[in-house]
Amino acid sequence: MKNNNNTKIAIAIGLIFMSVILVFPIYNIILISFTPYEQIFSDIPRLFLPKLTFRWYKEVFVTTPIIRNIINSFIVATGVVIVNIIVATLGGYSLSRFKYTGKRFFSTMIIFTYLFPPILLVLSLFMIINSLGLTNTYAGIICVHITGTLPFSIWLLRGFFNSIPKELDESALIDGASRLTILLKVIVPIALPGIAAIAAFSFIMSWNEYLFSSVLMATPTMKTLPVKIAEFIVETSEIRWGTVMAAATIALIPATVFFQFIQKAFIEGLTTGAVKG
Amino acid sequence: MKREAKIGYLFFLPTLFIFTVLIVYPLIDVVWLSFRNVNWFTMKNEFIGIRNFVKILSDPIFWNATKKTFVWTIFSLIGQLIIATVAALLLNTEFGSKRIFRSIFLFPWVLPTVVTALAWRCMYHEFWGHISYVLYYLGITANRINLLSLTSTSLSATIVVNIWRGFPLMMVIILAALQGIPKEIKEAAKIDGASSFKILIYIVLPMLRQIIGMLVLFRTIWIFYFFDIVWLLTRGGPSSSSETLPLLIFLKCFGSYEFGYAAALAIVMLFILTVIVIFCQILLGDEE
Repeated sequence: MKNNNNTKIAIAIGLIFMSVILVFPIYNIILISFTPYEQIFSDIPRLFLPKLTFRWYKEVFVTTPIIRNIINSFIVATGVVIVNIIVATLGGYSLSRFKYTGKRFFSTMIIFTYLFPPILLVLSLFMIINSLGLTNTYAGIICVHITGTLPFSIWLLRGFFNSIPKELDESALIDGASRLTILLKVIVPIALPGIAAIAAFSFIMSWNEYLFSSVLMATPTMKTLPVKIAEFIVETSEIRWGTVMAAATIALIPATVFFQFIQKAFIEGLTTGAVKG
Repeated sequence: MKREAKIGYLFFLPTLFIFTVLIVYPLIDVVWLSFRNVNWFTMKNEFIGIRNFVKILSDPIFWNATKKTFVWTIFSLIGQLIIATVAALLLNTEFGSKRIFRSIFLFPWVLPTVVTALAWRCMYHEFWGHISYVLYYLGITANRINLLSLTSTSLSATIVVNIWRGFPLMMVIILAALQGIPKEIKEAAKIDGASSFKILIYIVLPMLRQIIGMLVLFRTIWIFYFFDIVWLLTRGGPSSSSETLPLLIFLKCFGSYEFGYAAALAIVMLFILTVIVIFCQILLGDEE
């Protein structure tokens, strides 16, 4: 019995220790974003806020065009969510319900694209998007982000659709409904949690994406938020730490908040996808 | 029935269109580029056969990057696997099943890579970073140093960040597998007098072997070509000490605009990845 108690204590310590390590670097960012200038650069690193200031938040909104970057990120992510939902719903339904030659090939293709290195495509996509005149446009970057979100989304929705009884479709077919009507009126309402999950997933992915955005959204007015923050860090000789931290704190809010809503559906999708894939 | 198949194709068409235009076509384009001398800056564009590939194989920068990539991949992978397994075992307990812990343990994975990199640049900072302070305080280093700025430690320092960021995805899947193990098996072992530790080593971990094998394959690929964290932490420096293949490709591409050479590098990277995948599959196949 005593042994059992010791194990419990060890587990609790392990959990708390890990939690601290996982949260601390981000806590530190938020802390610095509220710390007055003189106190940021102390030799002994701080664990708590010495004095509260909103100076950096004022500065980041007044002296930098960050509002523009936030709006850009928001437009791109929303576009990705919409296109992603439409295409993935149709694709997932096709893979879940229809029998046709080449379906196996399509499924393999989705897993293949899921594992495909973006760095391999970045140079030719840059040239293609450029020759189409779509650099520094929302349409261009939305298309590119979709390639990253679509494979997982289709896979997750396929799983959701598979768990809905086929008899529902069949009885509606007998009643004379078209496949599209069945999908929209019968299947989608049942699969709503799955669709919410891919919506949040694709929003997070697009909101966080750096590599493609840094290459394809290069003019100051079109930069997304991660690109702007990266520019703050690497391209200025004198980093304005307080301002950067305020921007970073803003950047991490949407993804963190969204993820809380979809966590359960997301984990289910991830595990079924991975186990069956 | 034939009509049904047509509708099936029709529904898959948008996906197929996107994949063809944005993945298959660019891939063919990269192959085509790799046999040419294309420079975006000088507008040069000529066919040069396999000269790019010959140049790559005799380029010490390429071999350096390959070596760094393997170190980066292997150590990130092992680190993530160990941390993910420990974290999953912790979460699979009574106390660990509280929702708050799961949220916290998934937290690093949801963050924008830019924010992660920034957070760790602060942690490593030589004047006011917590890590440099702790190392100095414990007497491990003689001065306050930034581990990211030394050639001997820059790669290890980025690997640490990659483990921190990447383990949650593995943890989720291992946790699901753990929860799939029937309780009866563990209870039977307990009745036979096995300790918790022995149950873990002889029953739980072997049952996870297959799922871990698959995870290792997927994660190897992802870690191998992961670009953001290294780029945002060190830009491959100092003096190429953390320059992995994806960074080299990016630098050749958008640093010196040698698109042909960068494309050839990308093809070589894809080749290495394919070899790794086949190798992993043979290993996994043997186990079954």
